[in-house]
Amino acid sequence: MTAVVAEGVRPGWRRPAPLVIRILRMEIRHSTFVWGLPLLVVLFIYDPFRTATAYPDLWPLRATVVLNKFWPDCVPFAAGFAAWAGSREGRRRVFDLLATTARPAWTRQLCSFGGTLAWVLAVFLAGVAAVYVKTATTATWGGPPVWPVLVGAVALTAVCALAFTLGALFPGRFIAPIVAVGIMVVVLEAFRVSVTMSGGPIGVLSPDGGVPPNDSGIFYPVAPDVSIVQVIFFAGATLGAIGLLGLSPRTGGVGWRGALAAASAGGARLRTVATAIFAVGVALAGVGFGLAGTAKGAVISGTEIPFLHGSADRPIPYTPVCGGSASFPVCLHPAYQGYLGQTVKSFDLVMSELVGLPGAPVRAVEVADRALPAVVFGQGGDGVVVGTPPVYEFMMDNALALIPDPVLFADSFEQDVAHAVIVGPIGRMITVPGVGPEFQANPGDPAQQAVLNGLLKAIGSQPFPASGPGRQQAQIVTAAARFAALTATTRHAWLVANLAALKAGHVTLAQVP
Amino acid sequence: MNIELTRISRSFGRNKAVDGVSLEVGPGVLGVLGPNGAGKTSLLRMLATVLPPSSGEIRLLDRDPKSTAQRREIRRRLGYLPQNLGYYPAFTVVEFVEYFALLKDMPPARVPRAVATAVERVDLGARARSRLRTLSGGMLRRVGIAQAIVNDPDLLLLDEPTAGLDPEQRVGFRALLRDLGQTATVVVSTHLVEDVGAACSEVALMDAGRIVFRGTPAELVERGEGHALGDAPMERGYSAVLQAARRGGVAA
Repeated sequence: MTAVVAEGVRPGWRRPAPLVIRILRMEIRHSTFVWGLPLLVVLFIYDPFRTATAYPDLWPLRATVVLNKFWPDCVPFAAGFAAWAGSREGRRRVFDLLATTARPAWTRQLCSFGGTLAWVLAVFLAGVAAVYVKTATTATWGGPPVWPVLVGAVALTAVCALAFTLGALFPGRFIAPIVAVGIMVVVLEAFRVSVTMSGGPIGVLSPDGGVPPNDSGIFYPVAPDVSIVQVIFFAGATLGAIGLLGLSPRTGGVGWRGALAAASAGGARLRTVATAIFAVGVALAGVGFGLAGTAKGAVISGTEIPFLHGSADRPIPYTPVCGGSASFPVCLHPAYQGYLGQTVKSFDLVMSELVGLPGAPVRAVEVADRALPAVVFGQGGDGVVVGTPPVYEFMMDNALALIPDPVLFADSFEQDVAHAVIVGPIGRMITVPGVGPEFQANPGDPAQQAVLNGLLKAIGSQPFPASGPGRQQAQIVTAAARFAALTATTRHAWLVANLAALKAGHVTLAQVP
Repeated sequence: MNIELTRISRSFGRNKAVDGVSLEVGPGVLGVLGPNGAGKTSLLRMLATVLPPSSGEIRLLDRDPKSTAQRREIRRRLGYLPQNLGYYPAFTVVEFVEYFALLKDMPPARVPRAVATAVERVDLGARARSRLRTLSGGMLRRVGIAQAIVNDPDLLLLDEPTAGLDPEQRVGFRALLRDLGQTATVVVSTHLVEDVGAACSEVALMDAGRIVFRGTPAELVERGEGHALGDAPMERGYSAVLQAARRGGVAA
């Protein structure tokens, strides 16, 4: 024996690993999935990772990229390479040779499947880890959500199992692209029906679906209903595909027309096991599909499965973090602690103009989205001034979308608060027959618009567009410019004296200083 | 007897590839000769338990391949080299042979040594770490032989094993066959009568799905005495037997 051989086969100075482990190692070493790895890494950095890092550092928000971005990126790779691995025996024409081996075909097929799956899951989990580690370095509250990772891993396993089985049943060099494209089309269609909420169970079962409500995971626990159903369905699909693989005449070793009973290496016991696994898989998938069919829309979780829904809607207790001056404190949920300084700063200028005026808020408090009236969402604002003494209750979600530009971030709060103090409610929701609820804006009368826009202009904020007939708009703009040109003290003194009359509609445009 | 065939037939549609073959074979090397389409490969595939017969009985290594448990036992002790060897190009020689050793259910502790021995016996030790895609056709054939013998089989079935081997390798391979035939039953299907003459203790000649001659190589040579067709004595015997069979009589 030559030294090369001796080295290559590792003489038995240590206990050899079990057979399946050794074959699995071989399959992992030779998996063709590594060919797709560079492209998948580039895709990951360009899309999911970049998107995640652009999001605010909130765990629930960052975790959405796992299923909405990274999972669909992985699907065509997983499907294509799994189908390629599944078709290997047929493509390489080793079927006769393998059919004479003692181990059931199912064993070697599952090892081959395992080799591809190990890579797919390793890459998926590595991507998730990258996003989560990055988030962990800056997030101020909460922890990494597990359900998206579990759903993604199980769903990818199902994709691999289905693709591998298709590859084994229909071996050929075109099976990989056909399966990859086919499964991707299914995933995209499921995503479409999921987002449009038109697909019933299919939409619910799509991992690549709608983003959960903003309160989930921050003010309220994330309801795991949909995730549980997805895991049940995809686990069932995996078992179904694996069972089918075991029942396949090709893997049984006799070709399509041969009698499975006569020549399957595994024999009756294997067929019984494969049939049982297939049946359990189909049953599980059926249960998952059935449960998904009972889904209903929910305010907090987005979607609820009544059979699985527990008492997850109780708010998560938290201690707000506060900043700002004693005269106008600003309090946020601790998850948003990183934005406290910027939020406090956003109120400084507008409150310097409004402090002491009747109806001006004495503090600002972040609340859950669901605690705010629909009118806030209707006009895309951040909050409302409520109560006595007045408090500005706001959410961070809309403002966070403006984070890349701190000016826009400040504008959104300044507009909200100034409008509430000078004009009143921003509008109201009305029901339009045949259309449903619609937002009807309350821009204020011309004098109110002029004072509001003048004040916003004075503090450097974005004024509201003037409304009314064209000539009147010009007059509003002129009056606003006039009001903005006053000194802060003069403006404040005028507002102290005239705000009640202004809000009551008793001040004309000409009377605006 | 390691092989006992009783009137086995195998049809593919209307074509009867093997037609009522009965055969008993013990340890030694049996060469199966015959023209293209004679049914040699179908016979070997049935012996390899890849293909069930359409009719007739097969017993291999005193076991019935119809029974799952017995078939598995047969396969543990079986070596098979198909006519067209498929392979995984990314595997190395050692990995490919090890893969089959594991699938043949060899005790894991025995596998490394058995793989090394098999690779050495086909003289591929120097290329043990080479990927199969880098090997020549003849080397691949030797890899195929290595995987067939890695489990030290009691029944070894080789379909055209010397195709692609250079003369030196063929000489070495014939010696290997003789060695293996000391303890195991080796069935070699080939077109090359010189392989049969050099390595086989017995020869069976097939034509149109039937065995038309069975005897020693010397007996086959005898059949060719006085026959004009053929360059070598055994070729003349081969031609004479086939001619006689096609005239209507089975010579065996």
